[in-house]
Amino acid sequence: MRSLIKFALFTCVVTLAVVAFAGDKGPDGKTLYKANCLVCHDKGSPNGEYTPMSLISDQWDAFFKTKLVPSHKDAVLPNSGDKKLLEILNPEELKVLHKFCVDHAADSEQPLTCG
Amino acid sequence: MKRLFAFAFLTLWAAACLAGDKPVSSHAQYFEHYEGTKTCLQCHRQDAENFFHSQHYQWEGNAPNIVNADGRKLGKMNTINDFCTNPRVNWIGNVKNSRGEVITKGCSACHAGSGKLPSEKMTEDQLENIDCLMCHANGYRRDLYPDGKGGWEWKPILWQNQVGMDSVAKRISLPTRIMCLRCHSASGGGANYKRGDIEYVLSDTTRDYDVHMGTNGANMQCIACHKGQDHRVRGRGSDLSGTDMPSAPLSCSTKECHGDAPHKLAVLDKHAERISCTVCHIPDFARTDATDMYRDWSKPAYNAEADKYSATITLEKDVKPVYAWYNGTTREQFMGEPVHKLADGTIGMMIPMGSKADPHSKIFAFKLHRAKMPVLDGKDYIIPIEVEEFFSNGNIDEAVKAAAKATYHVDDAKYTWMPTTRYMGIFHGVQPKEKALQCLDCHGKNGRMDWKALGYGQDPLAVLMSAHK
Ligand code: HEC
Ligand code: HEC
Ligand code: HEC
Ligand code: HEC
Ligand code: HEC
Ligand code: HEC
Ligand code: HEC
Repeated sequence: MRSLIKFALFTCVVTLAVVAFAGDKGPDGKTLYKANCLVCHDKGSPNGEYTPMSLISDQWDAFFKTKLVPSHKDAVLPNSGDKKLLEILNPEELKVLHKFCVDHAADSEQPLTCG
Repeated sequence: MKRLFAFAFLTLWAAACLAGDKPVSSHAQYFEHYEGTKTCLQCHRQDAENFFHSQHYQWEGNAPNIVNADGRKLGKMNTINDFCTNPRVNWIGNVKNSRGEVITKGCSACHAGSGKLPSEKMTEDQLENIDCLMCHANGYRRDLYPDGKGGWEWKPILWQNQVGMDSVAKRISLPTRIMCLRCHSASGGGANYKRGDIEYVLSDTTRDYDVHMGTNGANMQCIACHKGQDHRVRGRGSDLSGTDMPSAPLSCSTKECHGDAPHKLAVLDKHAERISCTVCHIPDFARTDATDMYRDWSKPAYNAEADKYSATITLEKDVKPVYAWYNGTTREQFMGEPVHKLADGTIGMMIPMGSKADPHSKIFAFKLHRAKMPVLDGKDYIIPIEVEEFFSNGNIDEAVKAAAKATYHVDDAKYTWMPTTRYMGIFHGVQPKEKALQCLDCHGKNGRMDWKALGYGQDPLAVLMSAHK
């Protein structure tokens, strides 16, 4: 039990470290969104038009927490040589995307179309 | 495993994010779906009717503080200023630059309505035009969309997302700072351009910046000072025309606030008899975003990044106010009346009345805004500018002529560019007492007071000292 707690704590610390680290390194949310989301959700897309300001932050939280995996498990990125969206995006990138969507959601102070 | 990690990660992270302030869903029980203002009217008809008659909606109202108002109702709608001139000629529309990007949407962006001009007569259509959520819903945002009848309207950006819309429309509260700042910090065409002392940072700032609104200070909302009743706000400052609540003027020295003798030092209270509190307690303004100090409409300037034209605007940061006598009334330059020039030859757009000899006057702190505006030859009438087209094509001559035609029915107007002056009271950004002006800031060499201009001949302290010698 004790070691389990230790492990949990350790994970937390590592997680936090990664969070802090990811803050200033790696691709930014806008670039990721354009490359991985807008490709299928641009204006007039049959999949529905989705930009960060299409949803409120609660809806983005729900999307990243529970909906993304079931609704995009078969999503294949166009022009990627048949790569699956969910295999391309690593956890840090998902985190950056999630934060980007929430920060620019319809009820944020800087709603963005990502145009 | 990778998934699991990702999931743990996201949960942790989401929990950390969600710990912040969450808006209260105060109206969850009151309605299911938000269908525009008519949803609110079911229960708040009286509040809407009150709002309809306010300065905030009509942009016209009683103007007892304008000495040359002659009983007219005044406001943005029928006056002119030296920033964006007059809203009637620039009300609503999507003007695009050569790249097809929207560069301006019209003055109605700062009107708490969905795009219709306010009418004198109260109709259902007008009540439904009021955009309550601008001042009452946390996280509300709107944008300009085609209205389906060839015109434009302001709609929530969530208009196609009913679930999101309903959530936002239920987060109702009295107005918070950010809601007021949605309009007041961006007036004049850019962040803090117009007022200088109503900056966007006031939404979340420190006591060091503003003792009243700083979150580690009194953390006051705008309405802590400005709340009137029945949708009338208190306070007009020195350079707005109409006044919502002339019966309840707003000032620092009323009994409900500080009274007129708040100091331990008698000499400071004595000074306060003739010097407004703001003079010593707001030593400078525009401390975060630079403010527009001079707007030359005669010289179009092209901004390549935005692909947009504007007037040539001189911005300044950390500006020291100018000081002038003021008794609460103002002289205003109107459209359709020959221009009134000051001693320095400039047209006085908004000039505080008062003098040393007038016992109701005190010295106040002002932002002095200068501009160059077109004046109709022969008539000497000041002309507004149809800014919309000008923003995209930079043709100022056309913009002046179009406005002269719309306002004075003159074809191919002949006009002359003239310098103007506007005094704008500085009332926000009160700094901690350690930053207040000290004796020598005014009485020292190169002090802030222009003693001659203020009617003293020379520094009264120096006079007193030499008398004692
Ligand atoms: C390969 C194309 C593709 C990519 C890439 C893609 N999506 Fe989707 N997305 C879809 C399709 C297809 C649907 C389902 C449409 C439907 O069922 O009506 C969908 C649905 C959605 C929905 C609405 C349905 C729900 O689950 O709530 C959202 C929001 C969404 N995607 C966001 C995103 C985001 C954010 C990204 C980037 C991380 C993304 N999508 C990447 C194709 C894609
Ligand atoms: C079914 C009736 C109903 C509807 C519809 C309704 N309200 Fe209210 N509202 C109330 C009641 C009752 C109160 C007073 C009780 C309270 O403070 O919760 C109230 C209070 C308020 C207050 C004061 C809040 C405060 O914190 O003091 C505001 C502002 C307000 N409503 C705005 C709105 C707006 C805007 C809408 C439309 C989106 C709306 N209301 C729709 C019933 C309603
Ligand atoms: C939708 C944009 C908008 C919002 C939101 C808004 N204002 Fe205003 N406000 C204006 C405009 C425009 C005027 C000037 C009207 C005129 O002069 O005709 C004004 C005028 C005022 C005045 C002077 C009124 C007078 O009678 O002379 C005060 C004080 C004021 N606003 C405070 C506030 C406060 C406090 C809030 C938040 C509760 C607020 N405003 C929200 C646009 C707005
Ligand atoms: C320009 C900002 C603004 C707009 C727009 C606005 N309000 Fe208000 N509202 C205020 C302010 C400020 C107060 C608090 C002072 C007062 O009661 O006048 C207030 C107070 C209220 C209250 C509480 C009244 C009370 O007695 O406690 C209700 C209810 C309300 N508003 C409803 C509405 C409705 C409904 C609309 C749209 C038809 C609306 N407001 C539009 C600024 C606004
Ligand atoms: C500590 C009190 C206080 C707070 C808080 C406050 N104001 Fe004021 N405000 C004043 C005073 C005093 C005046 C001058 C009133 C007068 O002379 O009529 C004023 C004037 C104004 C005016 C008239 C135009 C001008 O600037 O001269 C506007 C608009 C205004 N305030 C908006 C706001 C907004 C928006 C907020 C919140 C971000 C706010 N105020 C917060 C005290 C306050
Ligand atoms: C001539 C300049 C001057 C004027 C005018 C002035 N003050 Fe002050 N005020 C000061 C100075 C300097 C201090 C700091 C005194 C100290 O540290 O003991 C101060 C301190 C204060 C304090 C803190 C009080 C304390 O003892 O901690 C308040 C509150 C205050 N002023 C309010 C006002 C108000 C309200 C007015 C207008 C009625 C006003 N002041 C007018 C210069 C001025
Ligand atoms: C904001 C500028 C300002 C500051 C700061 C200021 N004064 Fe003054 N002082 C004035 C003005 C203006 C007058 C004239 C007031 C009048 O007409 O009654 C004056 C008048 C005086 C007088 C009266 C002279 C006479 O003829 O009776 C004395 C003494 C004086 N100041 C001393 C001080 C001292 C000491 C301090 C610092 C505690 C101080 N002042 C700070 C502007 C200032």
